[in-house]
Amino acid sequence: MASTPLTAASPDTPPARPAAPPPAEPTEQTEHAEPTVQAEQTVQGAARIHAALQKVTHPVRINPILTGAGILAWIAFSVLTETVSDSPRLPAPDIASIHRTTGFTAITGLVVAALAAGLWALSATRGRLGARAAGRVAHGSAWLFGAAVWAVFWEISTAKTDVLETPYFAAPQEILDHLWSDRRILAESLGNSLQLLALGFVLGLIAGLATGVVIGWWQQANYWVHPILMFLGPVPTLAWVPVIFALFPTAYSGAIFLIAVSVWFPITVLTRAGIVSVPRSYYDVTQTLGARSWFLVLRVSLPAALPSIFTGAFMALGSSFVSLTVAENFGVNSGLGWYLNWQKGWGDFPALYAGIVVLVGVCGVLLTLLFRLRGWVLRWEKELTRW
Amino acid sequence: MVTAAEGAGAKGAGAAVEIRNVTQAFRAGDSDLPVLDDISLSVRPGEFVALVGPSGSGKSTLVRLLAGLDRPLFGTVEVDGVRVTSPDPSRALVFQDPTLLPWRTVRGNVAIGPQTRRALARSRARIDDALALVGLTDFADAWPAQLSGGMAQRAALARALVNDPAVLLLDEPLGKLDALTRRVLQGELLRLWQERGFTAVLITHDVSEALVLADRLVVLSPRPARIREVVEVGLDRPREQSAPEFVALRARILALLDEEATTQPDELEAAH
Ligand SMILES: Nc1ncnc2c1ncn2[C@@H]1O[C@H](COP(=O)(O)OP(=O)(O)OP(=O)(O)O)[C@@H](O)[C@H]1O
Ligand SMILES: [Mg+2]
Repeated sequence: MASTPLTAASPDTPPARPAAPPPAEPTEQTEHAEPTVQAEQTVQGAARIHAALQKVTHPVRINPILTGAGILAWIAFSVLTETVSDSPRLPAPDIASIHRTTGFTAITGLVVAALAAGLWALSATRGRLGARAAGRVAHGSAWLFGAAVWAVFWEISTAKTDVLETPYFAAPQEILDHLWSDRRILAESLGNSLQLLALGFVLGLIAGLATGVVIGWWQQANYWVHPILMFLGPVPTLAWVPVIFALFPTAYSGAIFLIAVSVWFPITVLTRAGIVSVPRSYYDVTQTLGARSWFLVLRVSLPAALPSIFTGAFMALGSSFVSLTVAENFGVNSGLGWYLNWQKGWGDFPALYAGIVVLVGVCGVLLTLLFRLRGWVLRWEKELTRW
Repeated sequence: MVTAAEGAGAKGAGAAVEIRNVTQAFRAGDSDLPVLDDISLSVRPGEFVALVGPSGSGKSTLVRLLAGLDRPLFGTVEVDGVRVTSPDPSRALVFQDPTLLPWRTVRGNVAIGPQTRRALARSRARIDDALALVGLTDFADAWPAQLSGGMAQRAALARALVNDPAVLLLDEPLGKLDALTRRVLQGELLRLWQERGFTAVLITHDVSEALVLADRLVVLSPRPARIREVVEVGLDRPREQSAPEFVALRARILALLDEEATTQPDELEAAH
């Protein structure tokens, strides 16, 4: 390649010429030829590297047998629910709600199967969307199948044979029926619960961070607060109820306090723990760069304590749910916790289970969101690939 | 408070460092551990001084006193006639470990100095320059966990230099680098020092490095550190490591260090 333009430029030159040419000309020539060759090689290399890394870092492999089995099992669930007749031992149709929602339940199974199949089809397409769908299918196929097996077992053991007896055990139909027929009150309860939870959680979080930072930084405060914290923290939420009735003007403000306390405790303890364990060298180095106290508190110790604070937030989320259900039954009289207790009072267990399904769903969503947030905030922590 | 970093250009801004009868000791369990024993040294404004001494002799301890991170048990440290009592960005310290804040990107770490002075917006170009100087422009947005040891050390160097200090304290800043990068950064350090005129105090294990860079070389004894000898280098820069004067000087200093190590063999265990 490089020699072609040279010979073309000076065809009469003897063979020795190109080896020792005048300096200006050949440098120009090689500068034209060489970079393109090199660039091509680099591009090729980069593409190959990219492909190889793609394989190493995203080993998305969909198991077609498992995924197919999962989809078929859900279809089987629907067919079973619709075609096999219900157990004769079940109470009369006007008492038990099983018979009303059999068709709906069968459709639900088909919807699950259709969603899975649709996602699977989408994963065959190129691009970001396809890649995400593939990830979901590959990751979820075992659960798809497992859940279907569970659903079939559940359907047979309750509605079809009544081995697990009503009303202590509820068939999927009954829970779906209650989710639908109580949708108004459930939605309202959900809204009230989320509002109460958000208020209590945010207040508890702010108070916990503040207390944790103060006792993590200030020995004197730690001397007084830490023992109190250790004694008051483990007190169960229920034990606070009488005090709260005496101290708070409204039941609602008492409920907020109850949730805030249960959030405050783990956040405080873990914020303090995080701050106490910040390496001294972080303070040294930022101080030599000109940092004053506020910088050290807000921009060194708090970020350094974040992994610990997030652990506290997970614990706080769990305990805030417990407090929520307690708080809602003392004076507030609305929300999911109240709904559960109310249905239990009526002895309507399927409705109770429907409420639990909603509660578990909410808890799962909030936990997932918190995981996402943590993953993003602490992204510096996990990217440990060394170059 | 106006720091050197705000001063326009800050050229020839080296400060005089005066160490007077400094003694430092620590409590190690029940016993006292003397580390620095009556150290006195004056460094002229804009001078480049290197400290060499065995491991564990107290070099990092001394440099922490100069930075104002610790106070001496006895004696004083003065910079431009003002007693050092607390850290100040005009005295930048590059630590033996890079200690980058792991939740900040490389650029975020370099930006700490300007940020503490609320000068972040004005300092964009200065931060980029500092990153370019240590060759980390491409890694400006990487997390410290993604850097190699040497890259992290270079980021720490950039973080100190961005403050345009009057005194630059360097605690084995090039210790983790390969020979080639080391040579390049030594050259850069020398160029910066000549250009900006700060006072430099360099701690190093590498006698050749000290001789390439410094005006004077302070040889410390093993712990508790005393000043064993102060050597004027007195060679013209750039210095050629193969020059006979250079070789002779190095041999002399190595002999001094050797002598120390053999006269007090019990100190070897203190060296980690
Ligand atoms: N904060 C401290 N508490 C107790 N002992 C300390 C402290 N800092 C340093 N020392 C002790 O002082 C001595 C000198 O430590 P220093 O870090 O100054 O050594 P150095 O000369 O920098 O060694 P190296 O070259 O290995 O870095 C060591 O024996 C060390 O154990
Ligand atoms: Mg040291």
